[in-house]
Amino acid sequence: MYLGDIFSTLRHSKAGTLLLVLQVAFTFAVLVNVYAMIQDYRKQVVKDHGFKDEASLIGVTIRPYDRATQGEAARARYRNQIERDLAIMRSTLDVADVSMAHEGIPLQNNIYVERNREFLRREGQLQTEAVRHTRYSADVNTLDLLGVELVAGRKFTPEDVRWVDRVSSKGGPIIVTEALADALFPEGNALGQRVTTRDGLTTEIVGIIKTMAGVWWAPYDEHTSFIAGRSNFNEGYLVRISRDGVAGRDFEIGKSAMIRALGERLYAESEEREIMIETVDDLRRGNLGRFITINSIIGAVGLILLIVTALGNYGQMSYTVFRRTKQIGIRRALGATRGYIFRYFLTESALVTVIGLIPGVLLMIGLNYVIVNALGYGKFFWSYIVYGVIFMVLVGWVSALIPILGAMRISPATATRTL
Amino acid sequence: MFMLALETALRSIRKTPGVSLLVTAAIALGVGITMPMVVLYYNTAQNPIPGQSDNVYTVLIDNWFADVTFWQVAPDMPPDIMAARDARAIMASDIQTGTSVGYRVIQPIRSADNDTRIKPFFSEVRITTPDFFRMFRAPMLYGNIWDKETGESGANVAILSNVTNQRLFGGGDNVGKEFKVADEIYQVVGILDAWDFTPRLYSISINARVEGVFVPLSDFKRSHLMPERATTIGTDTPENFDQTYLNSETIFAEVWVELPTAENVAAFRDYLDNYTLEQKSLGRYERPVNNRLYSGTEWLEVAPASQESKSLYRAFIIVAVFFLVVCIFNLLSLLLAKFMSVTPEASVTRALGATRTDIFLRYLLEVGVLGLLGGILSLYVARIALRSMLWVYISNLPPEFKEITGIGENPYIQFNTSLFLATFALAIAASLIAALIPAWRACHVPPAEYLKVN
Repeated sequence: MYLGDIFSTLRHSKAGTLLLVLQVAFTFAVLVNVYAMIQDYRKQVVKDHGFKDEASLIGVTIRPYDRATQGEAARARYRNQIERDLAIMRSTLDVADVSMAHEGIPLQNNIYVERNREFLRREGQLQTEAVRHTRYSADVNTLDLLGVELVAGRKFTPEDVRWVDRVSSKGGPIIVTEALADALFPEGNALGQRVTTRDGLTTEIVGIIKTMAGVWWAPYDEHTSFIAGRSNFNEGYLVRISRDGVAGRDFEIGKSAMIRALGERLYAESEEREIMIETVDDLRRGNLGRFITINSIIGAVGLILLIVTALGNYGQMSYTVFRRTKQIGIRRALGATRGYIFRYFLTESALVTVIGLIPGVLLMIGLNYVIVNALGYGKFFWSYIVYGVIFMVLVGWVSALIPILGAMRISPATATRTL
Repeated sequence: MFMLALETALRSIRKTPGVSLLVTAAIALGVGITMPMVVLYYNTAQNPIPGQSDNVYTVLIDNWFADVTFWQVAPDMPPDIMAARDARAIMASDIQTGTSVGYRVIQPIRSADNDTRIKPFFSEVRITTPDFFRMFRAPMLYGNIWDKETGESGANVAILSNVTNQRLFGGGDNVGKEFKVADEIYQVVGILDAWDFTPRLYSISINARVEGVFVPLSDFKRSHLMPERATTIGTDTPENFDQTYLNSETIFAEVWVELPTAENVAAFRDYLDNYTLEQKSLGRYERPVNNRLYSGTEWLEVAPASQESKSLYRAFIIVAVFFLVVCIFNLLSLLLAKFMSVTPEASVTRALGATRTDIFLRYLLEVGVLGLLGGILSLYVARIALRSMLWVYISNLPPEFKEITGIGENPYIQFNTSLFLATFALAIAASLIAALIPAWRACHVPPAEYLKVN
């Protein structure tokens, strides 16, 4: 019913309308793209890491000040200390299980742990055809401790796991994620095949697990492997806290008491080392900190962008009402109710938004193409357009509310004044 | 005349306080948010030694396995580290005016007398040649670089960063004092001033900062300090430093030379080519000879290790540009509303003889004043935004990274003069650009139209 009126009003101020439509289009394109970027980065942070009950899992790194690793004496010294530390950790209250994790604790990614960035290839293939992936070492109990889901083959047996200097060159068999298995053997027959690491170890795939977080990012984030072996120079451990043990107490309190006790006992064993105990949250920050940083900042900026848009819309609407004061007065004098004025302006605001969305969608797709090319991130989904449309109309209404309420208060007597 | 125009502009601003406030806020937010994001991005890609970066060159020799890629992102690029014997050959040349040969280790730093009040801490230590400090413009606060003889004698001397000096001795001039790297006693000969060197051009990697301790290379004789980044394939843990690093093809040394003139560069290139061809004929190098000489400026562009973080933080630039454009759009429609609401005034002024240009310029001046106001405000916004962004950035760094580099205590992006001026300029430019169309439309009102009613 008011559509005809609205169109005629809009036609009356072509430039203003065009500007408003363009503004809506661009804002829409930007907001949807920022949302797509945030969603895509967020996926990295909150995705399935492949292990169960993150809250009860912690990583322990013990780095002796004497880092000499040359010769039999150093090897014996390290080995001896590893056995003693394992015993200390196992006997600490509320510890359910401990496992060695020399080649990086899952999710850990810092300046020490560059070495588990690996390239894996089929036996006989050239290194140039290798697949990027993250490699971890595993003891017999590592996969069970993590709670990794096995989908084919078997887990490691005590025969698979030997003491070696470097697991990546002298380790035992290998277990890979489904994603890595598919990347290496697209035919789907990965189980039982032989593969070669960058360090020259050729070994057999004995098991395939569903997923496991690595230190690379998409699309290599789920390309992960475990190689059986205990390193003579192990510095990393995984500890699973017993949920039963801390029952009756608040879990977080029990957990921090247990972490403190663990640290004190390890430090009492020897002060000649740096002991670092990290929760999965700490580890995730280490690995995904960049994503979290970028996401927080982009998210905050997106929010401010919204505020700026709302302010702009508010100003625009105030001006519209100001300019049409006399017309509104005339309409009121001719019998239009306040409800009519209210509905009229809401419809106009929504209409301009919807018109703006036609170039907006095109612009959005164009921008998205540029973003995905530049970042490799932020592909939009069609559902985002629906959210975007609803959202933009709502923002338009909310920010126009005050001016519209002002318009409703315009007295019919205004019609009699000249300006 | 100008004063009159200014007065009119100010009066017009006073007449429409609401819209003027919105315009100022839009400028302040738009510019204040955009600038810090751009700064954060450029901090990962900026040139830490402008000018000097054209004189220093990194030397790459392709001593890698024939069937193995070294850089997955750039298969043709030789490794950025080389074997000790090749580094020695470059040190033997006298074509360059400076040579920096070094590598990085991570070792515990502790007090000399095992003072228990100072907890030992792991730090990055750079083993390097004295030219390094001059070539990369390290600012010396106390003491001096070790001289050539001391360096060659293999004496245990060290230069500390200001962060390490603070942690170990609580700050101040500590030249002559002793401390331990791993289990060996070192004497402090120099202390650096705060050194903002990002990205770490001489050894680029993600989030890398300058090391905490610098000790002499002493012709690769520091056998108790094993390089953190050394690569060969399939070897087990080294049994002996000399065998593994000195007389082998293990690559680990980062080599930079200073070549101030084009003749130097050409001569050095010849020297390098002759040397590698000779070595190749002796049966070394699996790959074809592929020597590269990149100036610091070029290396910032092509270094494979910097590509990753560049592409990650590129999101900042994209969002920053979007943000600014949306703000300008909003400004535009606000200004249009503002100018149109004072159309009668413009119309009357026109009727009184003002030209279109007069009106146009008057509107631009008015926006310029608002831009100036918004610019001042945007400085505050930018400062707060930069602090918040750095806080988010630092609180999401891995804890041990903060420990080693001291970045937690020492946020290194400062709001300096050039940033200050750039923010200001951007605020005024953005507002003037946004004002062009509204001012143009507004100055085209027919004169005298409004004389009729008023």
